[in-house]
Amino acid sequence: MMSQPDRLETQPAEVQLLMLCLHRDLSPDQKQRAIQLQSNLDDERLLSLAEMHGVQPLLYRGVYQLREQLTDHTTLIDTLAQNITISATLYEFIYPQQLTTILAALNAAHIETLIIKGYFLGRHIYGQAALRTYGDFDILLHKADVAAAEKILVELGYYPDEGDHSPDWFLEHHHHAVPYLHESMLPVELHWNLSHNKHDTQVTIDIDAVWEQSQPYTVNDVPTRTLSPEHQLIYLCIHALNTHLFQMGLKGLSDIYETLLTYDGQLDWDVVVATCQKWQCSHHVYLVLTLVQAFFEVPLTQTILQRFNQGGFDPKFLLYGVNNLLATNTNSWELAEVIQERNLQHVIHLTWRKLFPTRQEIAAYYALPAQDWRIGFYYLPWQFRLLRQVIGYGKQYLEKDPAISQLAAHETTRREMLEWLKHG
Amino acid sequence: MTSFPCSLPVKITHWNATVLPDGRWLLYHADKGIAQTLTAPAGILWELCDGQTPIADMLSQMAEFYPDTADTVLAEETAQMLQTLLDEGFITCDESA
Repeated sequence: MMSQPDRLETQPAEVQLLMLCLHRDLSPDQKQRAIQLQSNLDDERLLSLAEMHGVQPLLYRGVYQLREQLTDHTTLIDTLAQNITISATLYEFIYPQQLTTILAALNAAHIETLIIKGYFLGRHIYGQAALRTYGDFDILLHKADVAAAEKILVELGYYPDEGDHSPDWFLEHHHHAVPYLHESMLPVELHWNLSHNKHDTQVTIDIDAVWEQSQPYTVNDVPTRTLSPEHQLIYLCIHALNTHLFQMGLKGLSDIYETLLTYDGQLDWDVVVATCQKWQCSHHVYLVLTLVQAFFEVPLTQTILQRFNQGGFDPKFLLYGVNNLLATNTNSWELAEVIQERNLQHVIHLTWRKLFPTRQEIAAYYALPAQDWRIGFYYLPWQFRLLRQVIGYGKQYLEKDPAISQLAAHETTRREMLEWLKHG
Repeated sequence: MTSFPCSLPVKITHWNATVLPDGRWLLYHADKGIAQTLTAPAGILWELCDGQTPIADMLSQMAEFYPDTADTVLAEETAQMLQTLLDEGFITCDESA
């Protein structure tokens, strides 16, 4: 059962060191802290943790600054040095060339594009593409252009990934088209909006304003556009919460930290505040920035921060965020969500969803290729596993195991937080 | 530094470069699909090979980057690095490249 940390110092040494290494420039105090941590450090666990959070290049950036302190971990440093060479080759050269090909093809068809996350964050926010990992290209288009863009992707050798939901489902329920896959290029997601209200929040993004305030950008001299600094910050905060409830891990947190540093002195906070009020996402931004401020020193005053708080904030929302951010297994929380639900229709929906997850989820859990024909055979073992879990929780409940109370409390906080987010 | 075959070496333009967090340079040849790392000094020297900077000027600039290295050592190491860059196909003495 997961723990409930309320301070970074209670976390394992690997988590603490990883958090240190996410800082751009380590202070003498932070270097001293690293010396204290090194005797308890398990290199394999640290590497695995960094990989899970998608921040191994950032770990190397930090560890390299600590090379004189981490004298017992030269193998770790050597491994990271090798890995950064590989990831830099991908993120500095190979993936940008793929993105260039896609953008050039869309440009040739007079389709206006705006790149979000991934490459732009690496190149412009982190200052080096190799530092920011990503697994797909996210491209914002005008909705009227999406169908034409999908045809162009097909001409480039892409095909739709219908393992999760049908293309029509994405058109109706999502903010991007069905993901497109390719044998030798990264997947592509064609967006017509920046978010949708996955957890029943009420964020309403003015996508016309996003385009109006977007800025020209180029990828290998191919014209595209990118979000304004203000929209970039707001988008990252909404994405962290609306889409992932902080389960995007430390990479998402780092994105916001780096954005605040890069845009220090450039952000028009009046615009950020006004936009958040209009889009009904002030509380999203307040919670995420408070979380970032808890882990990093950022150029953000309390006066500015409080402009996003419209009342009702509970500090346990922050703890919820920390738990989700650092969690390695959220399966138990999802089950608790079903146990706690009062609405019968929603219980049925959630139960059905748990018993029959997407093919993608099955594939990920059993480490199968995404299109593997055997995926269908794994539903029965999945359901038996859930049944064993339910029996286990039932037993713990009857034995009054405190871990069950923790689960239930976590889910209560989630519901209260989602309710609070709606009012900001 | 008189043994080097030309006075104005130039980067072979098919190589693209980036600098890693540890100061090493990563060069990538898109057509061949190969990547190669260079030490920081070699990377800086490669960058200086613009076809217009004489080797003597390169040496002066390297001395600014590495002020603690003795002149004779720097000259010898720069000569070795230039030769390696030439042998490995990162620079050329062909002005038309």
